Amino acid sequence: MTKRSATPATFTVERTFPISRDKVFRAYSDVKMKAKWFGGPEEWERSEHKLDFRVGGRESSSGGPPGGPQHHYSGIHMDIVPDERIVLAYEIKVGETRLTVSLGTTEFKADGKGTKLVYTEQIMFLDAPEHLEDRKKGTEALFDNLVAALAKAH
Amino acid sequence: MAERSTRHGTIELARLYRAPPARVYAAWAEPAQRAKWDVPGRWVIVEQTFDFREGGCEIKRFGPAGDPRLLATTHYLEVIPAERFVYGYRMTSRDVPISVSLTTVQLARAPEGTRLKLTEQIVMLDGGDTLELREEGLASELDKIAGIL
Repeated sequence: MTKRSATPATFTVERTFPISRDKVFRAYSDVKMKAKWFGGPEEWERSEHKLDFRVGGRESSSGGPPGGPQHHYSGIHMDIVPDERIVLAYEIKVGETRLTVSLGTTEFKADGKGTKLVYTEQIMFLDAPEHLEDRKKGTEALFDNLVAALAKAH
Repeated sequence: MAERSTRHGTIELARLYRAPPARVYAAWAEPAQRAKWDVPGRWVIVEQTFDFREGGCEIKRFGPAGDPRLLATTHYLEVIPAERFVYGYRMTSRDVPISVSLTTVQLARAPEGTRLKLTEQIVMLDGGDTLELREEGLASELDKIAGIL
């Protein structure tokens, strides 16, 4: 029997946007918008982004460095309140190995004329050593992509 | 517009069962077994589907006798027989979402039988439920498993 472990952790990321929250929300609900900002580093090769944006609907994308291992992202929408909140359960696999499962809560809050986005991730590291700092850094980079993509679109 | 709120938390529970891991695992994996303990205390299940496998989805409608107001929709993310399983579930009360959870159950062989560790990472939605009540409910279910083993 393999030695199993499961290590939970929680982290949050916040960003503010100078645009209304329906516009920020669309960066999640529209597959073309989401594919623009959600993925690995720029030099990675990526598969098509699949998104079924409704409660119970799935989302997936894969990618990896040229010639390197494939990273697979796969999620299920657990709760959606349009323009206000999205709760997603998702996993990350590298090759066939599941590294983490997570519950991600994204809250869109009106902030004057703009939007404050609060993302809370409750993550579980499976067997793999905990790599919370790496994951936080990767998530911060994703939200930087989101800020850039929305600045370009609006 | 309703006032939105979230409260994030983690519930950790442990039990020692005097039965081997495969037997404890069956309490989840076998529908006839699970139906015996899968609600807190004397609550009742009025509708339940079973699909215990990676990628599987189940529903369970339950509550106090005469008031089955709660609906849980569960998605299994990982199933390793007799070792570990992970599932996400959303709970609604009278069709209003009250929580979403990510639950990891670990089974480990112990001299006495099986050491179970349940970790539930949960977000409570719009004040519809509390961590304290959820922990009480989960603890009641784990105690009922000891009874059927």
